[in-house]
Amino acid sequence: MIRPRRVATIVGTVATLAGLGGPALAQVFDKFNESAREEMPATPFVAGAYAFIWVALLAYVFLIARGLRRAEADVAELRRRLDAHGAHPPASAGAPSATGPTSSASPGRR
Amino acid sequence: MSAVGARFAAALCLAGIGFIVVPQLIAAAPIEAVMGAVQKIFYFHVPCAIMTFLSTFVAAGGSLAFLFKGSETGDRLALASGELGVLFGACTLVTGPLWGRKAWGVWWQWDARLTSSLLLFLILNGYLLARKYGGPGGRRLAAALALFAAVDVPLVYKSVDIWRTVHPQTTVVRSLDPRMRLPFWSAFALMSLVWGILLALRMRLEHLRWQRGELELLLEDELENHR
Repeated sequence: MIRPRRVATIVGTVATLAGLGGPALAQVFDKFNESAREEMPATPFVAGAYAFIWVALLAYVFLIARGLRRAEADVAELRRRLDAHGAHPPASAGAPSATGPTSSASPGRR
Repeated sequence: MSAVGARFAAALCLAGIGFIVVPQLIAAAPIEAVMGAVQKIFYFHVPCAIMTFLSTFVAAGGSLAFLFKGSETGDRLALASGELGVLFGACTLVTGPLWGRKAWGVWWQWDARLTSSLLLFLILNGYLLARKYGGPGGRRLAAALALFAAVDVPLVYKSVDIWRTVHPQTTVVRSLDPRMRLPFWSAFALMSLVWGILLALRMRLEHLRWQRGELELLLEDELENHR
């Protein structure tokens, strides 16, 4: 015997699930939609990719150049102060050493 | 000007010429039949990926020298290369999705190539973070991370051959149309040159920072002696 209330519950549940699942499926399929893909112009993607690379490289060059300017000025100032104290920094100050501290080893100096 | 300075100036001039010529070569290259004009991202996307691999290997080599021989130069080389790995890795991971959105219809797929590339990028970032915030022993920890990153590189490269992915396979460069080869290899040469220049500059910066540290210690000693 068919109970109208049970049928209504089943139909309601199916409709709810379909309503929830429908948009989700549509979103997934929409990503691979051929017609939607054809409509997209390539120029913004190509321009965006190239712009990002140049901006990233230029920003990095700028940061290194700024760091070099500061470090060179600091080294010159330190040498001047050492000279003023009559101390002569060895020529090796700045040459690679296996034992000498580095700025990398002491994060506070960076 | 010293011989090194002259070579550096020549490299800069060459890079400047490259930045003018290479985009023109790419613009003149034929449009790819299936993907259309968006395929032109390829000419810089692939060289950026190769530079990421190169940076990782150099960082691992420098880290090995630092770990087993205590080489400070190796450590500086590793740091400079690690930073370049992050820089070129970011360029690869940004240009790839831009290409993928148009070619595949999605920005990102969690397939083997893309996921392992992201993992490599994260390990390289971890390397830099370990160096900066690792405290005492941070440099050794970072060096070990650089070795892990180097292990990931062959995995990234071969992932498209081992697993089924949406990403083009490694044969794409070898099977390139002859008219696309010149723009591609020109872009590759330009990126290699830029990589070399940036590495030299970054090494110079790290050398100066080390020099500053040495001079600061000398000055402190000098001030102590005068008290």
